[in-house]
Amino acid sequence: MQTEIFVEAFALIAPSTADAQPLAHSLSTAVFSTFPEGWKPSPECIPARARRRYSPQTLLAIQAAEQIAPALAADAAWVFGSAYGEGETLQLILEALRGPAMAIRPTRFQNSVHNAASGQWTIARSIKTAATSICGAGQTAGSSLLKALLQVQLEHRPVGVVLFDAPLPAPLDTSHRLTCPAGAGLALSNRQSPRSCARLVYSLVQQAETPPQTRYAKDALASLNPVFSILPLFEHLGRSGTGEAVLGLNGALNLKLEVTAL
Amino acid sequence: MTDTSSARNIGISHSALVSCLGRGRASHVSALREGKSGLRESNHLDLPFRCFLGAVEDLASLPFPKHLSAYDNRANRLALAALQSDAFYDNALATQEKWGASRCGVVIGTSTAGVEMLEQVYRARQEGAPMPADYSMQHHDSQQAVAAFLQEYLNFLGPSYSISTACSSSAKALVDAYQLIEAGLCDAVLVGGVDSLCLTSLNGFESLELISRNPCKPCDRDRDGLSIGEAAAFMIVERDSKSDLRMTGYGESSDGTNMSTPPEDGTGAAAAIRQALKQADLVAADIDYVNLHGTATVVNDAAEARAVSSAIGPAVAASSLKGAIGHTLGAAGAAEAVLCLYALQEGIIPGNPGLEQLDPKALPNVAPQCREAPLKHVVSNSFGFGGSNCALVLSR
Repeated sequence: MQTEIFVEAFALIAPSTADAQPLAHSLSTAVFSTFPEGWKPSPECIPARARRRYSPQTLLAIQAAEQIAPALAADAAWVFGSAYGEGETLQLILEALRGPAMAIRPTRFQNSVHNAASGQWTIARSIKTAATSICGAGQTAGSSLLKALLQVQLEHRPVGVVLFDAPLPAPLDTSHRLTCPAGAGLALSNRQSPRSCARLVYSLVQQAETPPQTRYAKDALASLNPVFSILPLFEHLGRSGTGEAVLGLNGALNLKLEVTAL
Repeated sequence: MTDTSSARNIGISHSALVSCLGRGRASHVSALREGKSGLRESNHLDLPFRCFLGAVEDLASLPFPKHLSAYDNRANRLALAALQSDAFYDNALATQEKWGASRCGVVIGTSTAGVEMLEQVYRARQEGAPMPADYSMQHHDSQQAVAAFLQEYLNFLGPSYSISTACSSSAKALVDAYQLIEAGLCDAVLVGGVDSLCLTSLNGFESLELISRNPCKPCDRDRDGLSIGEAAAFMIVERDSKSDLRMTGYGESSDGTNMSTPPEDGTGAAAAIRQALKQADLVAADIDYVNLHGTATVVNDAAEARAVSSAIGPAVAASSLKGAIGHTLGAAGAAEAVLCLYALQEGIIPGNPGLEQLDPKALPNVAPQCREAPLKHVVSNSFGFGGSNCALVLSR
């Protein structure tokens, strides 16, 4: 049983010196850099004054989600993937636990869960459908995409995939290494539409991960943010070509995606 | 919503559960029949408040595999204890030999994984000092840490990932296990949930004023909050299973309203239950028992009663097992699914430990004591922060 799955939109939130918009479609010319000093994720559905109530990780995820949301029908399910989750909030809680009262702020606690971002996204958009939150450590991108592909195939519905990870504050930054925030979104559907840009067929294979081709993806992956593991797929999608990308999974098998441009 | 036409041969071949009630099937079945609670007044951790906990005893004395000592933390010790129950480890190895390592996946639901180890290490640091160089997130506080330990220990080399949607995590993990097999990507999946007691969860729920000072009393008129527990629960789901135990339906939804409080009318939960029944091709009258999420908070129990009344009907037999094992958070979905499997096999409707006077707004058919009854289909509810709802239909 194999189902054709269609890519309706894909998006990347990551630093680039090139004025290429949107970044996910122009990896071949973009140059990886760092975000400007003071850069913060700024999702439109969260009013600017309210953003301080959300972690940088959650804001990043919501911004990625809203970039692909227009390509998804209302019955879409959502898969959020993050290797490090709400690390900023975790560090604040750990600091509080050092005191004798162990006084944690209630809102901080409810926003410390790994699915804080998916929960806040569903709240921001009044989404009532299934939303899940996945961690696969360094292979979170492939694992989350696998889950989404399963849902499209077996539940016959569109699925939005959101990947996000951001650096943690000290002292967790030394044991949770990554140097650059990044978010990515991928809208998948079980039905071809005028906006479909590619067809995917997936399988599990004993094949090595596809190495990044573009200078941008190579430099981005050096930042150790697991979100960038999705870039070998985005490189194909951005080229509007046909080929295959193999993304890493935990275990002996990896996720092979045969991509046909539409 | 999954097309289950090819999923009906997928069954739950083996299970194991460790909680404050004991290790393995016999101790849990006996406790269910007797209506026992494993909740005890807190006697460890540095909690600045008094409460009752569902702690698993003697984990520290468990020999931990030396070659995997990097994974040694309380969550993985819970996992190890479950593997050693009811010959689960042997059954897992036999499963792996039967299908081949790369055809066997691992999906684990957890809320905090080994964060308890991170708490210890972080608190032991001098003010302003860096984290110790030998502390490894990968082995402890990564939500993937338990699944990674299990993958290495059992050599299950198919896909391995973790679901972390707070208290619905391991119910949702069961959905993934079925989907991996149904799509033909795995022949068997080790699925379950693990969460240990930790300061983050306990102090966090205390900050929300949701921790009871007494053993929790789900569905009771005088309920006043949670008792937190810990557990590890595993199942081996496989195709062509000889077991007659199945997950026949599931439903997932989001409230989309609030991070920690469900809507009063329980609409999100009801939607998940309806989806689960539809997928199982069952009607409300087919459901013999509902295992309530039943956390014993005033708001959540009332919303769930409305959800069950709306989706199944008020007369259905129901109970919460949180008074027996506590709220085991990310492990709750799997732990209570395993308890439901025991109930299906034993032909019992579990009681509702802690219940003294039924809340007039609770479902009327909730009894404190266990009853004998032939069961064919049960619903198990799991709801979590973020408005994450999951309902499973488990059948025999």
